[in-house]
Amino acid sequence: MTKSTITSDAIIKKLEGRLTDFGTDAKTTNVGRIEKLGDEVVVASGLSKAVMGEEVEFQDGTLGLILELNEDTVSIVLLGKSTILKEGDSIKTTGRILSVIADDKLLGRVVNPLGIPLDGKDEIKKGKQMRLERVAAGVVDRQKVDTPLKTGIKAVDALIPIGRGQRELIIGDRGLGKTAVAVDTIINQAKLNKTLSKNQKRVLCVYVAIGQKQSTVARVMQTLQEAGALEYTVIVAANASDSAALQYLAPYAGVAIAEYFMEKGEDVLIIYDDLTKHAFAYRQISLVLKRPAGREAYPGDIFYLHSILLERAVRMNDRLGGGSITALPVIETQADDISAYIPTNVISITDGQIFLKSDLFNSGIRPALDVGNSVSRVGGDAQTKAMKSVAGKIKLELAQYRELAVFAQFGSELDESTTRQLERGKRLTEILKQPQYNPLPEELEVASIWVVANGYTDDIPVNDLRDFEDKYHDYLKAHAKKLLETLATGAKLTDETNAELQKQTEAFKKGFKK
Amino acid sequence: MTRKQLQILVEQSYTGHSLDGAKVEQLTSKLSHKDLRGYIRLLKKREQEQQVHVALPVASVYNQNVNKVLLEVFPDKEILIEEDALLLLGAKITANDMVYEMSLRSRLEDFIEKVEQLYD
Repeated sequence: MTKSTITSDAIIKKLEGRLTDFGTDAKTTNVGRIEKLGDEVVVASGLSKAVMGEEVEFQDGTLGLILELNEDTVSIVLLGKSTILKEGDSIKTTGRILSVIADDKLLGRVVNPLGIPLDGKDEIKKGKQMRLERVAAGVVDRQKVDTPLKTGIKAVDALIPIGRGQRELIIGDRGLGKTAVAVDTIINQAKLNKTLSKNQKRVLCVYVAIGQKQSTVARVMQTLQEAGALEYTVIVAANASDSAALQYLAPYAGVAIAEYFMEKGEDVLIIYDDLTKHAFAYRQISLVLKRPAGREAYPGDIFYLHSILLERAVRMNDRLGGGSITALPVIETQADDISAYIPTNVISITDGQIFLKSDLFNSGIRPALDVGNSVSRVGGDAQTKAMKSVAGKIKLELAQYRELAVFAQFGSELDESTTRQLERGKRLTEILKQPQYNPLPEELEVASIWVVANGYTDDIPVNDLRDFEDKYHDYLKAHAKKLLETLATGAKLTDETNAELQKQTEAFKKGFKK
Repeated sequence: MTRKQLQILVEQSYTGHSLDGAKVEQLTSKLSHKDLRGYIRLLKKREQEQQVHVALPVASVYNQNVNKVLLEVFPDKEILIEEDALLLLGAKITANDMVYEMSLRSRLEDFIEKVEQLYD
C-alpha cells in the first residue's frame, strides 16, 4: 500500500466543508459507571444497550470486554492494565464487537490478542477487521481432508499422518517435546514453501502462545527466525503475566488471523500452545464472574470453549477458495493421565492425537511418540502413496514388536523368527528417532523407512543406525538425485523405483563404514 | 426483601413525578440496613432516569423554543442545563445511560480519528 499524505490545506478545506455541512445528526453513545472493581473484572451499571462480546472503553482509555449481561448491571473483563480506575468512573460502549486487524503484514510479527505489537515494530493500523468469535463453516462449505500436511517428523508422517484441515492434538506431560513437534512442523512448512512445485500450495503458520513464559516465546521466535520460518509465521502471545482475559482471547485471535489468510485461499497451520492454560484462564474468569463451578471447578461450558475454537479448523471447498486451517492444539497432562477432564474433552473434539509418553522420552526415544495410543482419524487419506506403501508395513511390524518386547528379557530362549522380529522392531524404533529442529523432506523419510522395513539394516548394530541414516541421506543426495525427485512426487513406489532404491542401498552399504 | 419488592417501594415513594419526603420516611422506617442500601441505590437510579442533562456552549442559548422541543422528546423528565464552552457549537444531551452528541467538538474529534486511520 502506498503511503498517502495529506497537506494542511486539504485538511482545512475538509474542515470548512464539514462546518458548512454541519448537520443535526446526533452521535449516540451508551454509557455506564463502575459499581464494583476487582480481580480484573468490573461490574458496571447503565450500558443498557450493550451487547454480549462488545468492546467498551473506560475513561482512562483502557479497553474491556462485556462477558455478562445482568438485569441492571454488566460484567466486564479488563483487556489492559489500569491502576487508576475506581468506583464511579465512566465507561462507554464502542459499538464494536471484539475484533483484531488482520493483514499480510502480520507475517513475521509478534502481536498480542488485541493486535498490539510485542516485537517493538510499528502497529498495523490498516487491514481487515476479523471478529474473534465467529461461527465455524458449515458442512456444505467444507471438503474432504485429503492433502497431506508434512511435519518432517518421520514418526508422525509415517504413522500418524496429518492432513490440511485436520485437528490433531499433541498431548503429553511437561518437557516431553510437545512444543518441539509443533516448532519442527512450522520449520518444515517454511522449507517446503521455499521449494514449491507448480501445483503445490504454501502453508502459512500461526503460533498462539497461551500463558507461556516470555523467555519461552522469545526462544521460539528466535528458533523460527534462525530457521527462516518466521517470515511465514504470525506469533500471537498472551504471556503468563498477561491478564486471564487476554489468555482466554489469544486462541480466538489466532484463529481469526488464520481465517483471514484462509479466506484468501491459503492453507494455514495454527498451533495452540497450550489449551490447558487456556482452560485455566477461562476457569479463573468464570469463578470471578461467580458462574457455577462444575467438575474440577471448571464452568459448565468448558467443553464448548474448546469445541467452538477447534471447529474453526476447516478445509473449505473450492467454491469458497479451497483454503484450509489445520489445528495442532497442545494439552499438558499430569503423570501421563490422558483420562483427565480437559484432555478427554479435547481428545473427543479432535481428529486424532499425538501422545508423547515420559517413559519413552526417558529411555531416549525422541520424539517420544506412543504409537499405540496415538492415532490420526484421517489416516492414509492424508498420506502420499509413496509414504503409504512404506508406512503400512512398519505399522504392523511395530505393533508386533510391542507385543513381543516383553519377552526381550528371555533373549537366549527365543526362536529365530521372534528374535528377528525383535531386532527389526528395535531398528524401526531407532530409525523413527529424530533430532530436534531437523525436519526431513518426504523423499528422505521414505528412503529411511524403506531401507529398514526391507531388512537392509538387519546387519547394522542398532547404535550405529543413526550414523548409517545420516550417511545414507548424504549418499542419496550426491548419487541419486533422480531417485529422490521421483520419491518427492509422492507417487506409489513402482517396481523400477524399488529396484533403484535397492541398487543405491546396496552400493551405499558396500562403502559404509562406522 | 427482593429487588422487585424494593422497586415497588421506590415507585410508591413518588407523588406524581416528584419524590415525596413523607412517604419516603414512612416506607423506609422499617427497612433493614441491607434493604435500605438497596432502596437508596434504586432510588438514585430512578432519579437519574427522571433527569436529562443538556450541555450547551453558552447557557443563554437555551430559550422557550428549545425547552418546548426537549420536553416533546423527553416528556415527564426534568431538564437540567449546564454550560460547557468546550463543545464550541451544538449540544450534548445525557438521558440516563444514553449520550447524544451533537456538538462541533465531537465532530472534530471524529474527524481527527478518521484522518489518523486513513492517512499515514
